[in-house]
Amino acid sequence: VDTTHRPVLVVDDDADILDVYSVVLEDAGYEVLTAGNGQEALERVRRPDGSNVSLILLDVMMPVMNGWEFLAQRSEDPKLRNIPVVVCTGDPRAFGHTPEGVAAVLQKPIGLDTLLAAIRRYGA
Amino acid sequence: MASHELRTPLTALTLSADALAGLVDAHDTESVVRLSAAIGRQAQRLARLANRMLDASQIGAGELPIQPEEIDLAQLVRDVTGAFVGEVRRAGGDILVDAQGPVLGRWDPIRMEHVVNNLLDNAVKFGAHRPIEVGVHGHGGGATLTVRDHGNGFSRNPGDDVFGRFRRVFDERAFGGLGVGLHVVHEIVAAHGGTVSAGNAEGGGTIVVVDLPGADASRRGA
Repeated sequence: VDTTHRPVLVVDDDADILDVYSVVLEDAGYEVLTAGNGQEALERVRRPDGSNVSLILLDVMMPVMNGWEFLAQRSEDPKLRNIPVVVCTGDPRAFGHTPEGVAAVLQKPIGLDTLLAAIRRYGA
Repeated sequence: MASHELRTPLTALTLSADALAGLVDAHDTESVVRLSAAIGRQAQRLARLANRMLDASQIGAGELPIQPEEIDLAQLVRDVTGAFVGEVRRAGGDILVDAQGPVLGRWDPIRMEHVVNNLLDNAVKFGAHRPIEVGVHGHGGGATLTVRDHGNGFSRNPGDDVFGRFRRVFDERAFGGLGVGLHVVHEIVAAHGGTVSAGNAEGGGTIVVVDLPGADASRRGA
């Protein structure tokens, strides 16, 4: 892992997706943190070292706290507002337009080149 | 919605395919094994989705052929459940199976496999990673199959509404799905001459009970 990269937080309720993101991003030199839903993601980024997260890859449909709810909570928290979010969804039309504070919306299935390009472009 | 449902497993497959060659070149065996396992599980998930879509399509067209043959339902349930155990345990849950066999009867093995797959997919999705209980018991030539999760259950008693096509009784923003799983279960069970009910279980979670008649009563689907 290239320690010059700050961690990427992946938020998805599918354990395989978290595992696959972890393998491919760690192989590309990124440290990867994972959360199974929006609530876990909030708890992760609100830890003392949470502001170190460079980018959040966010699924939308999740139990406990979905992506929309996470974005709403994030927008009200000055500490989290500056962490870029890239939404990964199967249905970008569900948003109508890119929500405020979201750097980009990627449509699944997402290839490795697209994923890495988004992280390089939007990662703080 | 169907397209959306397919896109998550396709993401796992696409990313894995993109990364595997490089990982092999780097002799990163552990990562290759992890991705290969994920590919296998996600391919199985796609296969279940495809089966569900095909079943729903046939039901919609009024053509759901049932081909009963002598099978051991307990063995079928053990086999199908076994394919879910790894996935469920990785997420921190478990599947407890009470399927003392044999439970013999004349049912369509492929359709019954789809029934169990659909019920388990729902239990995994809504079960909050808590234990899932599956039971199969024979009675008078028929059988009762129960699948219970320990999730949050229905917010209200859904009655038979839950078996309608594209019916969703859980929050669409929290849970994906085609919206046809229980509909398919209901139609397959009905085609065997059986009944299915779903509701909140005592102590929490949901319980689905499938009652299948013996050979005499199930001729409707033969």
